[in-house]
Amino acid sequence: MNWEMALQQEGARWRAASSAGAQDVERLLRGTMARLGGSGLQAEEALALLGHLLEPLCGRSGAASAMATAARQCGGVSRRTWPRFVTSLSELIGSFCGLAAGQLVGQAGHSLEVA
Amino acid sequence: MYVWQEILKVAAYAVALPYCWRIRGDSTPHSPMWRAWTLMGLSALLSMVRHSYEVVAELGNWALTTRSWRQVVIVASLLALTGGLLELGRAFRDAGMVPRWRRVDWVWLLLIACLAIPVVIHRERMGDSASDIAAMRYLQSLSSVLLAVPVIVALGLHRISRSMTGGRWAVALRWMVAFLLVRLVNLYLGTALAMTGDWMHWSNVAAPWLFTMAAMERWSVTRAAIRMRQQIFLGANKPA
Repeated sequence: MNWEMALQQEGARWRAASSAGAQDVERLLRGTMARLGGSGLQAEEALALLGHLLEPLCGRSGAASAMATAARQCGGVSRRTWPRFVTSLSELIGSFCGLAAGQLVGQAGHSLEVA
Repeated sequence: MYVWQEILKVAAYAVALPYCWRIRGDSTPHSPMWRAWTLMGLSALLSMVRHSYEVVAELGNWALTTRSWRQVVIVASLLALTGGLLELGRAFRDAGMVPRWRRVDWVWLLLIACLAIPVVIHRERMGDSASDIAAMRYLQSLSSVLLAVPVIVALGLHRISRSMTGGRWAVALRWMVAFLLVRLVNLYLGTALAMTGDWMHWSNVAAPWLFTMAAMERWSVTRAAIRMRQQIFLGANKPA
C-alpha cells in the first residue's frame, strides 16, 4: 500500500467517526500512528510525517532545517540510520523547542518503521 | 498615575517571570536555551526590582540622587537580557538555524544607530543626568547603547523567525523583537526629541507586556508538544 492510499483510508476512517467523542478521537490517532508505522514507510514519507508534526511548533523550514542537521550528523536517512537519526533529531528539537517537543518527536519517530 | 504605570510594569514582569522559569525547566540543564531563559528570567526579576524601586521612590518623594541608584539595576537587567538573547541565538545556531542577512538589514542597522546615537548626544535630557553621583550619570548615558545591542541581536532573531516559515516559536521571537524595538523607540522619543505626554507613558507601560507575550507564546510551544504527545501516545484527556 502506498502513502496516498494509506492516507485516504485513514481519512475515510476519520470522516466516518466525525461524531466520535474525545476518547474515540484519541484512540483513532493512536491507531493511525500504529498503522502508518506498521506498514513500513519510505524514509521520505516518515520525514514528511515528522515534518507535519513539528510544523505548528517550529515552522515548516525550522523543522526541515533541524531534520537536515540531524541527517548530516548521522550520515543520511535510511532504514539502518533511522533510529540514530530520530535520536539526533529529538536532541536537536529538544535543544531549541524544549524537552517536551524533543520527547514528542523522539517517541513519534521511534514508533515509525522505515522500510 | 505614574505610580500605577510603574505597578503595571511590575505586573508585566511578574507574569513573565514564571513563564521564563517554566521554559527554563523545559530545557536541558546548562544548555544554551537553559542559560537563555535563566538570564531572561533574571532580567525580568531585576526589572521588577527596578520598577518597584520607582514606586517606593515616588511614594517616598526621594531626592533625584537617591533615585538615580536605579541605574545599577537597569544596567544589570539590560546585560542579563543581552546575554539571554545571545544564548538564544546560539541555541538556534547549534540546531542549524543561522540568520541569513539581507541587504535591507543594513537599513535596519542604520535605523538602530539613528535611534541610539542621538540619545547619547542628548543625554543631559535624561532623568538622572542631574544626579550628584557621576557613575549613575555615566550608566544612564550608556543605556541607549546597552539597549541597542540586544536590538541588533533581535534583528538576527527576527531573520531566524522569518526563515522558520511559521510556527509558534517564530511568533514568540517576533514579540521579543517588538519588545526591544518599542523600548528603543520610546527612549529615542523621550530623550532625543524630548517628547512627553500620556501616550508616551502608556507606550512605556505596553513594552514589558510585549516581553510577557513573547514568554507566553514560547511556553505555548511546550504546552502544544505535551498536548500532542498525550493525544497521540498516552491517551490522556487533559494537557499537563
